[in-house]
Parts: sequence; structure tokens; C-alpha cells
Amino acid sequence: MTCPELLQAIDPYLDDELSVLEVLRVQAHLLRCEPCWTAITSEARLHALLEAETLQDQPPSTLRERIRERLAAVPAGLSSLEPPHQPFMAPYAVLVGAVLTAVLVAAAMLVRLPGPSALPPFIEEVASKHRAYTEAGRPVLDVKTGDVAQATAWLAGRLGFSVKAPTRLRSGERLLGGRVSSLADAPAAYLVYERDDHPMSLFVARRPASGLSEENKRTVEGMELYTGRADGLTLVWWEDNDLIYAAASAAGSRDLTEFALLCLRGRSSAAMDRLHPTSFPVTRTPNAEGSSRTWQRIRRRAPSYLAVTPPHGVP
Amino acid sequence: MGTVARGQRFEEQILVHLDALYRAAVRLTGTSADAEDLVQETCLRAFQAFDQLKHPQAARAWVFAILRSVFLREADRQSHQAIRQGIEDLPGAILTKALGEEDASPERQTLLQEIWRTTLALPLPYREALVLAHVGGFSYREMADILEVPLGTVMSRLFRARRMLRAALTGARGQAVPVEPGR
Repeated sequence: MTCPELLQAIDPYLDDELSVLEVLRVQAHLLRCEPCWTAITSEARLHALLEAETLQDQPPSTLRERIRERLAAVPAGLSSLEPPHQPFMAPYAVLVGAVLTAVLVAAAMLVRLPGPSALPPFIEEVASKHRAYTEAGRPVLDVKTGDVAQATAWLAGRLGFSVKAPTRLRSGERLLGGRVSSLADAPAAYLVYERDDHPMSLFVARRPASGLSEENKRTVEGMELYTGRADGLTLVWWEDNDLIYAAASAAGSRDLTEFALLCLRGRSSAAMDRLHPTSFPVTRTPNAEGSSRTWQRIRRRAPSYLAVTPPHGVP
Repeated sequence: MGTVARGQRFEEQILVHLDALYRAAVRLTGTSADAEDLVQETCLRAFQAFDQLKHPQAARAWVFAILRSVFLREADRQSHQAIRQGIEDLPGAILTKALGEEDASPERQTLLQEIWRTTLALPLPYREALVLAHVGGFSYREMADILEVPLGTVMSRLFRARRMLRAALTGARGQAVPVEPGR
């Protein structure tokens, strides 16, 4: 690590945002560089002062009681006020519920869903993160784009593996963007789609060493898929080379199964085409110039201590 | 869910963060009176939407996001000038009222007061970032979720906010750090 790199890493280091490896690199540099040690010590003092300053204020002793009184005055059953930014919630909830029920009944004919107890931990994590990302507010994305190639290229540069996402989306479906996430403490790519007002999440990570339980395994049109349900969500996951893909949505298993087949084959299945005789609009594919501009922008914005490597073929 | 059980859960998951909410509110609004109003309104909104909180472990970030939303809505209603006047009128004693004996040296009080004043004078995007980092104790990712901005923007705002603070504390206000346009 060089001195400029260390100076860029001071804030993340003091904010406990670096990986163990990065922390070790910082500490190794500090041991042999007195100017950087002085700089980081000074910055640490500022952080400590900020922490101390924030602890000065205490709420008035009566505030808690006043809040309790106001809450007690809220009429029973009034709990429908929407918190800020919940784009995927009501007013479609009732309609979604009815559609979901119908879809699930139909889906049960295609795929038998195991009970929630059979789910591996990383799939429960997928369900939890899908909820957190799409219900706690507008999905917060590192890259906001409807361009699949742009999003997957961005993720590949950050994660070191390529995500195979369908470039042809279904009618009523659009990509919102992606971000770096994690699954089972390993880095993971995250893409979020919107389909008929439902958020749909796709996580991609390196395949866990423990392997997948045969209990969840189903064969759909010759493809091996794993399916389950948790907390009102449908989950479908599958392996592709050394990666594992996991999709989550409340929209129903048929939707997700179709999406999984799109990912695996890069097109819709014949059976699904028959069920949904709709056109598949082709999303815009950036040319090489667009990809190059994207990577130049990423390089400019990324801190220098983060190695940003464009995918193969992008200058 | 029964009313009593719901109230109990709200106490355990939301009101447990009351101190931090108040500290953040003071630094957003600039006055203790406005901060109390903001926290009360935040808690009321959180209570009404409480059934939509699916994961208790996300409660702290969730209620901070509501606090920010309520604050921004109120800030839109008021003129920016009115908010700034509130900041300028802050009583200096607010910094020292909870200081321990060992921390009550005049130099330290002056320093903390300067931090307080400088923090409140920061443009809102930077002030928010500082408040979430040092009052809320949130990670960059959680802050990005609350602020609805990319991770890099969080890092940038925090970095610049601290630069501005440092410049103020060292008397180098003239060497202003370039700031992003306001909201």
C-alpha cells in the first residue's frame, strides 16, 4: 500500500468499513510510515471528538412520556400510514393477493414446493435480503440502469465473476439496477427487477462448499432447479458452473421458474411461451463505446484503493 | 396482534433508540424544541406504520429513515432561512450540560462547541452523513439505504464533511472544501 492509497483509506479504516485484509495492509503500512501514522492519528482525534460531541445531548425526561401519550391516542387499528418510500406496497396489495393466490394454485401444478423448514440458510438469507432491499424503501442500488449488459459488466468488475442474466426481458418486466451484496458472508451480485409492480431479486454468488439439498430439487424442462417458499415469498435457485443463482419474489413460482429458465438458456422456454404468448422486448445492448465510457466513469469515481477492472473486451 | 403486544414491541424495537433519535434530530433541526417535535412526529409515524417493519434487526435504520423523511418534509415547508436562524440562535450551554467533571475543561468545551456550530452550519447532505455516522453509528451501506444514495456518495459526503469540520477547527475556513450543490 502506498501513502496516497493509505490516505484514501483513512476514513473507511476508522469507520470500520475495511475487510480484514485491507485492515492488515493499512496497519502494515502504518508500522513503517511515520507521516501516515501522524495523519491517521490526527484524523482519529477528529473522529473521537465527533463521537464525544454527539453524546452531549439527552432528550428531556418528559419526551418519552409525551410520545407514549400520543401513541396511546392513536385509534386501534390505525396502522396503515405508509412509511416513506415504499413503492412496492399498497395500493396493489389486495389485487396482488388475489393474483398471487391464483398463480400459486397454478404453479403448484408445475412445481411442488417444499416446506420452509427445508430451506438452506443462504436461501433464507436471500428471502431476508429481498425483503430488506425492497420493503424498507426504494431499492438502494450502486448502479441504476435498465441496461442488463451495463449492470452485469459493472458487477463483474467489482466481484470478479460474470453474472449471466437474461438480456431479453419479458413483457412488463424491467431491470432497475444492481448492487454488491453478500450471501453466506461471501460477495454476491444483486440485480433487482420490477415485473408488473412486483420487485424480483436475483442474487449470484460463488457456489457454497456444502452443496445443495436434493430435497428442494426439481427438474423443469430438463433443467435442474431448486424451489422453496419462505415468509410469503417464492424462491428459486440453481447452479450454473461454479456460481449459484437465487431469485426471490412474491409474484409466484411460475414467474420465477420462467425467469430461471431465461437465465439458464437466455430465452424463454417453449412451454412458458405457450403460457405467455407475448412478445419479449429486447433491451438495449450497449456498444463497445458505451461500455468504455461506463468504465471510465467507474474508474474516475472509485477510490484508488479499490481496484476496478473492466471485464474482458472493454477498453 | 394485540394492542398491548404491539405497544410492547414498539417500546423494545423503536423507543429504545429515543436518545439517538433525539441527538440526530437536534443536529438536523438546530433547536431542542424542534428536535422534540421531530422525534414525536417520527415516533407517531413509525407507530402507525409499525406493522410494515418485518425485521426487528432493521428497526434502527428504519426509524432513522422515517426521521429523515419527516425532517425533509418539514424543511420543505419552512424556508431555509428560518432553519438557519434557528442554528444561529443555539444556546452554547447545550453543549456543556451533560459534560462530566473530567471533561469540563474550558478548552474542551470550546472545541466541542465549535464542532457543534460547524456541524449545524454544514450543508444538509453533509450534515446528514455526519449525523448518521456519528450519532446513528450506521455502516456506509446502511447510510446509503437511509439516504437513498450510492455507497460512493456516502463516502464522499462523509469525507468532505470531515474536511470542512477540520478546516473550521483549525481556523482555515477560507480554504473551503468544494461542496456538492444543495438539494
